[in-house]
Amino acid sequence: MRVKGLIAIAVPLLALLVTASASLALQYREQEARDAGRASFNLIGAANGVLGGALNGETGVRGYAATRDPLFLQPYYTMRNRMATDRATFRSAATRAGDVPEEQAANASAGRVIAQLERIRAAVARGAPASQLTRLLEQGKRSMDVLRAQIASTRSRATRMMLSQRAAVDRMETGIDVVTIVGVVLGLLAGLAGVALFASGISRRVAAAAANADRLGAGQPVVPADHSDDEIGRLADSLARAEKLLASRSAQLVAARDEALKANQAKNAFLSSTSHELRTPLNSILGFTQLLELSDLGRADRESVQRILAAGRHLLALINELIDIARIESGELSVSLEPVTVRALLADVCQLMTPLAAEREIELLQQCTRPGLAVYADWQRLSQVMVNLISNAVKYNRRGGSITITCQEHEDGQVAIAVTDTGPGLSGADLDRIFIPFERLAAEDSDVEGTGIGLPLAHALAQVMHGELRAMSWLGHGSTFTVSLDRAPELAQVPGQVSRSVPRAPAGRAPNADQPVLTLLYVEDNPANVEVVARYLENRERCRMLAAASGAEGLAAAAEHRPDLVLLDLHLTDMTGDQVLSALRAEPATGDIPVTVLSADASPRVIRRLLTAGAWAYLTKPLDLARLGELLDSFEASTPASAGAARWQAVIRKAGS
Amino acid sequence: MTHTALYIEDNASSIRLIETLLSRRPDIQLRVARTGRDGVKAAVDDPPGLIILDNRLPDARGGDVLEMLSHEPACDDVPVVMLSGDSDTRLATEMLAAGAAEYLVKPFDLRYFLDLIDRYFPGPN
Repeated sequence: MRVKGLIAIAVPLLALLVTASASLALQYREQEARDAGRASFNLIGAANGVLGGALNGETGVRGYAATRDPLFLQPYYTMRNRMATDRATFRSAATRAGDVPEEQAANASAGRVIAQLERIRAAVARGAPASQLTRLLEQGKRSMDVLRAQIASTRSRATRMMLSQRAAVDRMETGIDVVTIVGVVLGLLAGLAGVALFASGISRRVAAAAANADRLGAGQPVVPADHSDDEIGRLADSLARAEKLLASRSAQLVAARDEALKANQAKNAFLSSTSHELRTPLNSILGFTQLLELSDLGRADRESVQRILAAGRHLLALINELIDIARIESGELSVSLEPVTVRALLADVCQLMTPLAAEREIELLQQCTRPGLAVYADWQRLSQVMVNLISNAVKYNRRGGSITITCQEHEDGQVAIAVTDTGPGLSGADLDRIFIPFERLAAEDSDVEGTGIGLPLAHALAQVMHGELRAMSWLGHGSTFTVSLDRAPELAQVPGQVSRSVPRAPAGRAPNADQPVLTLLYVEDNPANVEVVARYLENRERCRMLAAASGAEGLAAAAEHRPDLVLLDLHLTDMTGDQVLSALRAEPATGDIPVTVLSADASPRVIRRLLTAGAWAYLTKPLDLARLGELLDSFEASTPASAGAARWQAVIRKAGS
Repeated sequence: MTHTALYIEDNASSIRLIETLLSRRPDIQLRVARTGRDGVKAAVDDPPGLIILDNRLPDARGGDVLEMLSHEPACDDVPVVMLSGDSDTRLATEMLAAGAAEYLVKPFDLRYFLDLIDRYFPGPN
């Protein structure tokens, strides 16, 4: 790079130097030519001076010869006085202008003219005869003619010389101009070329370094650069070193991450295994304690047994929550998000929590009453979150306080369910810690029972359901915990909707008296699924639906209403599908009612068992409404009362798997 | 009428608990197998009215036992109640799909368990 830098500077400098010296040389030559020209000019002047002087002298002498008046001699004397100077000037001018014989001859002729004039004057002065004078005058004239001719020749030679010198000067001036212009142009071009060369070299290497820096930024290997000691070379070396450093750092990070992942997996495996290992002895503790509880005990012993049971159940809750958190962290906790009617879920949860609240004289105000409002959630997990929030609101409340549950729809498509208590509230610092496991705020010394991971778990569960849990508090006035979840499409509001614990009143169109009506009993614990079927049946004539949320309710409703058809979900909270089915079969009043079982995950073995046990048809979940329609169509095609087993067997083949 | 329940479990304390609990139902005879292989053999040799199955056995998991039972026509009609220390919902769903009639997590509620037994074995009591 330094060499290139030198070239870039040296080339124009050299051009400048050459131009300057050429120009100087030419100027020197020009000066010489000018001097020569000046000498020729001086020679002409000096020649004119000699000739003029000689002519003046001759005129004077001729006048004197004609008039003999000495007054005419005045110019002659003046000439004689000056002629020596004039001739000396002429001689030196002739020497400077390149002495040639002609000038020497002219000088000599001038001398002879003067000598001739002196002889004429002397002849006139001594009174020489006219003939002698005439002869002398003629000789003088001839001398004068010679001088005139020689002076003329000298003048013309000097003039030629002057002209040629002037032409030479002109040529040289042109030459100087050309050399100067060419030199400047060449210098400029060379300079530009040098700078371009220099710059392109720099920019190429800087670009390479920049590309390497980009690669480094993108985590790709850098391209090795040619070694060089200059600044760019050092930059390239630094990049290469940075890459090595980065590679070793990222290797360390990968190792650390792998280690952390391994540790986390180990932790999860440990927790899962520990959960199992802890449950087995806990099973014995709780099991035998329950056996003790069932036996005859004194009051003190019974209290002891109940304390063991309470502590054991607390331990069990702690284990369950720990396992849930571990599963969420490892991404193993799966939720099935489906539309959940908020009001129905809150009714369920409040029913569960009311006794706990009543124990502490706390009023539970459920103000979220909009019928169709639904969110995307997992029923069980959202229940878990709400139970957690409400039980906290009970635990950390004042005796005789209240808990208010409200709902709010937001424009961003979320529904916020808020639980507000009238407890002591939380400080800002505490609010930052409540979602961290095992931070039981201000409860360390209190006798409030809790695991310390309920809120972190609720927080994590809300996130798993694509929502969030937030807390706000006013110290001394209470706290509000808000769960926000995505809003689900509003479910059809079923006319005359009754509490879930009672069979639903007839849905759909009012039947005509003369038409047979198909009565359907749907035993299902997820209200959202019930809503879907109810909504579908609204558009069907001569059809009414009853809904039961548990196996026990389903059995009661079947006995009471004697439906034409039962839709039975296999996963109920209180009984299994098998149990409901066999109970229906066992009861004479309901033994003949066709039962269609619904399940999302039944294996062929289970289906075979159910069909053997008396189920008429099997439909998969999520429920395909078109298939349900086909089932009802084929059912209506016959008289329900006389529908024989053969017809239903056909339906099994058509609708079953 | 005497009913037979087969408990496939390796933990002595758990076995003792179920034995004690079922001693309250004299019409139910409890048989015990301590490995999956022994359990399936016992079920096939003399099909019980109900199988109670642990998930972690010395030689098999609950799912393996359900799979082995599904190939035994003699056991087609025998309901299997799982009594497991694993609380994973996914596992429970899998087990139910694989043919288990119930999935109970340890520790279990004794009254609930007794009600369940009574539903399967409606007896004179």
